[in-house]
Amino acid sequence: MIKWFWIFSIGFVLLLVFVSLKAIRKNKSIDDFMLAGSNIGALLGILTYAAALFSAFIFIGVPDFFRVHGVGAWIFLPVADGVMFFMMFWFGFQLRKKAREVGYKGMAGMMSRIFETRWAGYVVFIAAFIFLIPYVAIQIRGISMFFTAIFPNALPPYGWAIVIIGVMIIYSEIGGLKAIIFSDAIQAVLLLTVLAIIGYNSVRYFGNVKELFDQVQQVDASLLSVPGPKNLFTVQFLLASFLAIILLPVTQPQFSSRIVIMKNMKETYKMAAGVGLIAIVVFIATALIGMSGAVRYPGLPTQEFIQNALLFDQAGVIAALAIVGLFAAVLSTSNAQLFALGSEFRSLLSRDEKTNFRWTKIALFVFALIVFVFSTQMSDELVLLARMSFAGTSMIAPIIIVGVISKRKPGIEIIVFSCMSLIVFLLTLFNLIPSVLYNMRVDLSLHTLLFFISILSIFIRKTHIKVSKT
Amino acid sequence: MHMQSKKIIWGLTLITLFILSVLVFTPLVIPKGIFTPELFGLPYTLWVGMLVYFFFFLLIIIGVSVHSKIFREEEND
Repeated sequence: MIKWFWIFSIGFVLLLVFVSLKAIRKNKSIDDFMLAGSNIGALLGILTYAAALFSAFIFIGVPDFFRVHGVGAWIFLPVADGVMFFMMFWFGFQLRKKAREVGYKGMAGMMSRIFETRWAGYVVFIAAFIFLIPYVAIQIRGISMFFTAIFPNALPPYGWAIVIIGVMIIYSEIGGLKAIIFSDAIQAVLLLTVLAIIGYNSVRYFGNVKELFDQVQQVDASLLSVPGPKNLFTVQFLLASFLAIILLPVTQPQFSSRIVIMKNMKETYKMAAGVGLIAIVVFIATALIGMSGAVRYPGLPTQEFIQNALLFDQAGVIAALAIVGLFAAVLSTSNAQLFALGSEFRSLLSRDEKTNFRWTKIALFVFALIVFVFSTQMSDELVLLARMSFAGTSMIAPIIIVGVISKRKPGIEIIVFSCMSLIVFLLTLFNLIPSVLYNMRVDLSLHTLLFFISILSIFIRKTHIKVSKT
Repeated sequence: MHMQSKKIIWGLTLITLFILSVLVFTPLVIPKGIFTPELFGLPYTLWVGMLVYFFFFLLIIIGVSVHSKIFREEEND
């Protein structure tokens, strides 16, 4: 395995250098650097979106989620993602239309202009900052622990975290978004290949799918239905997660920015359908790996299950590919998120372009440092932390959706209520407010409340009707 | 195909998407503690969930082809 690991690692690093150099040559302006020239075609779009979406969260988190909580995980993620891909082109169309009208450097800056108050932008940026940083950090922590376990004598976990963040800073600060998108493409191909092979091997071990699920039934039949062995998949949990996930193209800047930078709407349509197609392979493979793990490694901690499933149960060449694939997955997703935060920060600045750009690069470096500090302090609950990130940013969805579809300035109450919901949601995370009130999950109540407030605001203020100024 | 037909298909796509999204959270897709009837060895919620995903994917394909014809975007360049 070690021989193959070095071959793939060197190949991967050479590819990274190659794409970074290619990106540098293509970057002729600051907008080229930050928004990849807004000229991305369908194939690159599919791969970069898939890479931003299918991260360590998919590689490590989702198989483990199936293993521990059972088949309800399919309703939690793939079903919600199905609607999210629909949202991608419907909202993408509205977003691109608005971006042409008011200009786009980042969602935060765009909202400031639409609402005619900087507070709209501040709330959007703060939500992204609060909920993306821990999400990036948990992925880096996951991969650092993984590498420490595989190579116990090489580096401590924080050493691997420094290596990953170091590589991330270097090539994003040099090559910009184009370099990230190229590396995303490499990662997506790697991830898809590795997951498909390991998923197939997971079934092959049992002979066929029926035998696999028969054995799952013998181990723990509650894995085969909802709410699962730990009663996680209640209707309210699934519904609140569904709402948070379908809003990802709206609320998480690494996704919305990838929609805006597409060459045209035709390519965006292809991107939505293409990612939906890739997702079928990814989700079926992760489900099979997870259910196989439920039989073979029922009581093991996440880390040991992943090591066995991805490495020790595989042929040397596949295991080596899995390590490099996992490294690439964390690298590109973390970079996508961090760079998107940088773009959001830049969109709020109001000085000249060169000064803004300098500050953005400094901010990217500071964000990376914060991520490093967090990565040494996080827990191992990858999927639930990701879900928290999705749910947290979904609280600002009304600002963005109303802002994008409104034909004139939307009401300030949208910002106020979104901000209040964000605070309440944060208070539930710190256990200062119960997460369930009157038998209803607070996040679900907030989504419902925000929905009705947004509808009321739109119709009372008639923001959906264009009125020519006299 | 006439514009009116396209608009009807788009409307029907949205309605189907909404109904299917609601049905996902009913016992029709997630019956509590039940994993039969199985299909090709897959437990009930998993195969029905997969079917729902394929329906969503089908709606994406229909939605993309109709939406692109109804709402034309000015080319960026």
